Amino acid sequence: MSPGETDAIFLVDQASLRATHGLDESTFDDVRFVGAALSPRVPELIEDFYVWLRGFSDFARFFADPRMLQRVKAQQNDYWTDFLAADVDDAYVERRRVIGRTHARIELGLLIYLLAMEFVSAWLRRAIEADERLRAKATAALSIRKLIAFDSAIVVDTYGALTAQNLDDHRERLHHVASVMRAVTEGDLDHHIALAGPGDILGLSLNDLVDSLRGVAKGMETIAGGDYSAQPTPRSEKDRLGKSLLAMTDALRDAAERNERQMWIAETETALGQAMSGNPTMRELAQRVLSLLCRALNAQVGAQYVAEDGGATLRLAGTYATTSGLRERWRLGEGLIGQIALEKRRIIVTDIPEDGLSIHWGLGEAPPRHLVIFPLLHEGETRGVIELGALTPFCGWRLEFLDFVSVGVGQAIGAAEARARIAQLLEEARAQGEELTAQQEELRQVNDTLEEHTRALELQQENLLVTESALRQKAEELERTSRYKSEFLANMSHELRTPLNSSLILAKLLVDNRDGNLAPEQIKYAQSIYSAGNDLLVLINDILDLSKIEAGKIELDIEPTAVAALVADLERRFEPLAAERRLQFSVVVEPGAPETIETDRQRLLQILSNLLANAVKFTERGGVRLAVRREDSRRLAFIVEDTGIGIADDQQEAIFQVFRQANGAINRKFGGTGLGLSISREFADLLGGVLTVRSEPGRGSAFTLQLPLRADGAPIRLEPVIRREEPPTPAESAQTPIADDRDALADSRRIALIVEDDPAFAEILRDLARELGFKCIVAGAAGDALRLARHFRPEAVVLDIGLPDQSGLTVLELLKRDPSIRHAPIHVVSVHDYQKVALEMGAVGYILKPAKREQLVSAFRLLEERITRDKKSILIVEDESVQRAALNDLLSSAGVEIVAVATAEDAMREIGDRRFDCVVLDLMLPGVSGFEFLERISRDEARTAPPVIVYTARSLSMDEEQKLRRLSKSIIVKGARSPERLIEETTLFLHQAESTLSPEQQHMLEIARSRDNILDGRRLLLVEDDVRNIFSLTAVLEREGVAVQIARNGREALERIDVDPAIDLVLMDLMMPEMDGLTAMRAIRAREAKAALPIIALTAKAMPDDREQCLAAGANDYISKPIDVEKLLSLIRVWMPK
Amino acid sequence: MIALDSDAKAEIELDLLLEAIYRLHQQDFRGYARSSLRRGVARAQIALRCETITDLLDRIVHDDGAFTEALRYLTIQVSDLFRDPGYYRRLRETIAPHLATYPSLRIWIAGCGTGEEAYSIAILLHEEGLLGRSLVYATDIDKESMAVAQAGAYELFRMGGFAENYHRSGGRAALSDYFVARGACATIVPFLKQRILFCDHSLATDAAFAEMHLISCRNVLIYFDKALQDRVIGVFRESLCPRGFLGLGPNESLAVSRHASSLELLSTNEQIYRVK
Repeated sequence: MSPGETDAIFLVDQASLRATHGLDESTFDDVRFVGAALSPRVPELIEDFYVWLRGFSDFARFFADPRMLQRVKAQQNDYWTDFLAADVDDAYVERRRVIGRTHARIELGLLIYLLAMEFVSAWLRRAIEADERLRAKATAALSIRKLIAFDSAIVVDTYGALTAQNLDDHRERLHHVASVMRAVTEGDLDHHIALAGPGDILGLSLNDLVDSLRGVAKGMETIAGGDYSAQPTPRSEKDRLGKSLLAMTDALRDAAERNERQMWIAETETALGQAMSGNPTMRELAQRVLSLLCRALNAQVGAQYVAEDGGATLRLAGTYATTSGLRERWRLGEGLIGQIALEKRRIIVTDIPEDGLSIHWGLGEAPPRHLVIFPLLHEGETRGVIELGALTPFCGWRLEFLDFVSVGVGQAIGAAEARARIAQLLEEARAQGEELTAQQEELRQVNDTLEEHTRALELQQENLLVTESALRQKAEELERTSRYKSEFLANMSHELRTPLNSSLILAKLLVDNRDGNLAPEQIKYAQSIYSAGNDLLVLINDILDLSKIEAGKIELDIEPTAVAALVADLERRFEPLAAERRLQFSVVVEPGAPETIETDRQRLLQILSNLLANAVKFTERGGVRLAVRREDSRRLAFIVEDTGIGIADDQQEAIFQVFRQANGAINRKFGGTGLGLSISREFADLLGGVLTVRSEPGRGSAFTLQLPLRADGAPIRLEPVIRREEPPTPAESAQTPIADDRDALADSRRIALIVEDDPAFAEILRDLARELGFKCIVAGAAGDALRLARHFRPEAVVLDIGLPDQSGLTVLELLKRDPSIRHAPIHVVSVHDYQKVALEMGAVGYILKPAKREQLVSAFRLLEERITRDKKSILIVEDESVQRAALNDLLSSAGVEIVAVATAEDAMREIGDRRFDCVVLDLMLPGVSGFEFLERISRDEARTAPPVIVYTARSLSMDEEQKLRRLSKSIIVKGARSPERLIEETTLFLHQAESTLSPEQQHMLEIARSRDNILDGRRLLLVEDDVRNIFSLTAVLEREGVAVQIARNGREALERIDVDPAIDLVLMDLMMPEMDGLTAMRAIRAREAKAALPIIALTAKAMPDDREQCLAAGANDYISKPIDVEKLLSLIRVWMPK
Repeated sequence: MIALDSDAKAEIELDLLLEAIYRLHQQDFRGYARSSLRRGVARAQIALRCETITDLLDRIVHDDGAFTEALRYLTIQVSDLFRDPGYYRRLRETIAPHLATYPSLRIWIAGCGTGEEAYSIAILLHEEGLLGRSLVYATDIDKESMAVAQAGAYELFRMGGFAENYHRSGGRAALSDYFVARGACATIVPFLKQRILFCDHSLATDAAFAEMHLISCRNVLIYFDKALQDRVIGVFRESLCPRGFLGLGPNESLAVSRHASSLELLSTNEQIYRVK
């Protein structure tokens, strides 16, 4: 807004103003009149005014500048001169307005103007009154006053208007200034204020202030940035901020430098500490220390020497940035290094001549200009010396730090030396320890081996003892049996002799033909009877003797016997016999032979008779000789020699054994029982003597009987009491109490073996069997049954379980294991319920007693059916013709019909047409695959699928095997031994009993059995890799209505659990491949959603801490293998969520 | 008080020791052969510097480290790869063809110790083309031995003997093909380990855990007394599949066992039995 436009608010024009103030030309004339006189005195007026004005307080404010006063005085001079001219027009008014504006602008109070006008008015009035001439003009003073009032009105008006305007401007500006100030106060120094004009002091000041603050701020920022180089200049003496800033900068700079040094020292100390830590070797230590010091002290080369030989020499331990050529050793006192070591004080060398060591870098080299060499001290001793070289002087205060280094590194060297010594000792100790450990381990292994051998020997000994005792037992048993046999024979012989005696007597009577009424022919017959009877008697006597001896029943009758009489007796008996065979016979009692011998005469005679009889019998030509010779003081020998056929060496012992002779043919040729020599030897034995033989085939034999001159009176063996110690063995004792058809078996067809210990029921069964056209054999005990079965090979068996000696189940198992009878169907009839076991073992049926007749009839019918179905049939499914033929050959045997087809389609047709006992299936088939075939026949509701043996050359994956196991009975992989296994398995299936229940019946039974529905429809995950357990547990659980899923290891279990959220319970085995049960349980528990899933662990482990482990891993409960099914089911019921 | 001679007292001490070991560490030596145990304990006494068995008992009860140390003397670890080559030759030539007829095989090395037997069997199975379908369970009570077994690392100096055994057992390749030398040890190659499952199992207390086609338990039974032997063979019998095989150590026999009748001896020299 330019001034002037609105600077007259009240005045409309000067004319109306003039009128208001009562001004007219006369007024002006008056003023001009006065003016004419007083204008020259205007300067006087001004001076007077200023004299007056000095009394006012604002004076100094306005007129500090003398030029200003001068200028104002001139203006005032002009003003009053103009006033006194009283040329009042617009220009005059305008000039007054300028005054008003100026006052307003410089904010000169209006009061001072008005006082000034008043002063002038008073001054002029006084001047008028002092002048006669002027005084005369009466209106002059009034006119002056009027015009002054007019002037004042204009000035006041303009001033007022402008001041109002100014006030507004000021307010606004102040506002602006205030806002900038506020910003400054808040720290915002970005704003300058626009200057109102060159005289805008406020604006200038403010901007100055901002600039100044900015300067300070910038300075502070620089300092804050760590730059203390800027030296802030204070703006004036009074610039406290500036001065403070300067002081602060200085203080900070000092502090920073101190800090930096301390920091450097601290860092370098730390770095040194680190460099020396970690048990470095001497060389490592030197390298690290040098590297650190060179960097810290701005040195370029360095070397460290270490004191050796108790400080006498210094050896180079490490260098920094040097090339080769450094001296390795210094003696103490030698060179600077040696000197410093001696003095233990630091030295600094500057301005070094250029012919020493150089500092090398990539682009060149130069000798170091400055050196510092200082000792490394430890406990007052020099442990080494460090030398550093630099191109620039070393920093003074940093060198002070070397004192610290000196001691620190000295200590480190001491430590390193100690460590090296310890390490060496340790190494020695370790090596010795290792050696010891190795020796110990070796010793332990040797010990273990020894222990194994020792234990093996012990075990052998233990086993030997067991075997020995078993053998002894066996021997005792044998002996006992043998004794029973002998007793039996002894008894029998008596029984035989009695009737034989009478026949001999009667035969003799007939031979004698006392009445003479027999024809010669008849007499001859009677002689034959007599002779044969005699032979028989001899035999019986021999047997009797022998059995008596063996039974220990021989009684000896020891008495003095005259030798001469004895031999004479023998000579009498055998002379004629020898003569008859044209043999020489001689008896010689050699000189020195005693006259008598104390022995059992009868037995002695028997022995010698036997020997002589044999000699005569086996000698064709030559002679037989009996010699008696004294052997020594206590023994007498009887020698029977012949020139007969002799006996081969290997037969010489055999002839003494019961029922054996050198040659069976000889026995037949020469007659005799073959018992004689055995008996003779037994008698010799009894008499305390020995019977031996020397012989050469074709040259003759010599039997020598040596007897003691005086036989012991006591019988050699104790007389046993005849008694039955042993319970009768079943086979012998279980006399069939009821009659059967064993003696009337025309052929072995349709023979039924009835094993039943209750005679009444056995009879019922027998009658029923006979009724149905069976021949019957009845056994009352297991032993009998087995014996009879093996002997008669029955076609069918009816078996009781409760037998007196062994369980019928044993009979069942043994029969099923015997290839010769395993095919015979076995039907069990028993009070005991072993139905499941028996059927599994191969029984065709099972009836519980008491049984109705109809049941028994149907049992026999079932057996009948099985027998008539005697053609067993095998279906072979194999596409390869050579293989097919080979299988056909392999499996074909009597009673087996084989159908061989090439495709699964043909096989299904065959199975549809007829029944097979077994199917042998190749998996790789054209068209429908083996898998598919299995699936189909197992799905077939109409008939039970025959057992299938998968016979494949293909290797199977785990999954395939799992699947096949479900569908087939057995899987055989082709190989060298597979035919053998194939035969075994097919045989098993051909004769294996099937369950008598139809599938529907089985199903109904299963439903009836599954009594509780808590398990019905529940989902259970069985994690187990043992195939047997999988199948048995699945079967049990499925019977209860549980849907069982299988996982074969922990990993699979987790997959299943993640996929199927509906699993109610988990059975978890522990020992599994890939992921074990404990890990799996932990993983399950780690899943938040499965925290409550019941898990029962199955484990073979039995220890309490195993159980702990299971529970700790997250199992709810635990069951030990082998698994008790009932226990498991109740556990499952307990844990199954309701 | 009854006056006892020192032997009788030592027996009581031994009983107490075994009972303590059983209850503290679940290692049941109570059914082990006494004579062998007495020697083992005597060696442990020397090694641990214990005057009496009671001193040893004291150490074992209060110091687990002492037990680990003593255990080394109570269990006997003598084994080599293909130890008794004749046994492995018989397995290879006679038994393996039978095993080959099964689509998948389970084999149990009972008392595997430091693993030599398990790896021998694994190598054999591999060479007979059966390893891929086999799962070999190798079990022992001694966790330290099992750790060694699992590592499958044997001192290099033993390899010469191993290789000789291997060839005498009918090995057709080079034994070194199955090992990688690392430092002073030769380590079995990983693929042979893949089919072996090392498990902690005590023959004295634990039961059968899976159906097996072959169980090899060599030189373990000799350390057991008669009753424990019978128990173990019962567990084996229960584990074996119909017509399954059982291999024992050369000095072990079922001749006097309760289970003798259910197993037939295939080879007198090698003590290999088959379920009747």
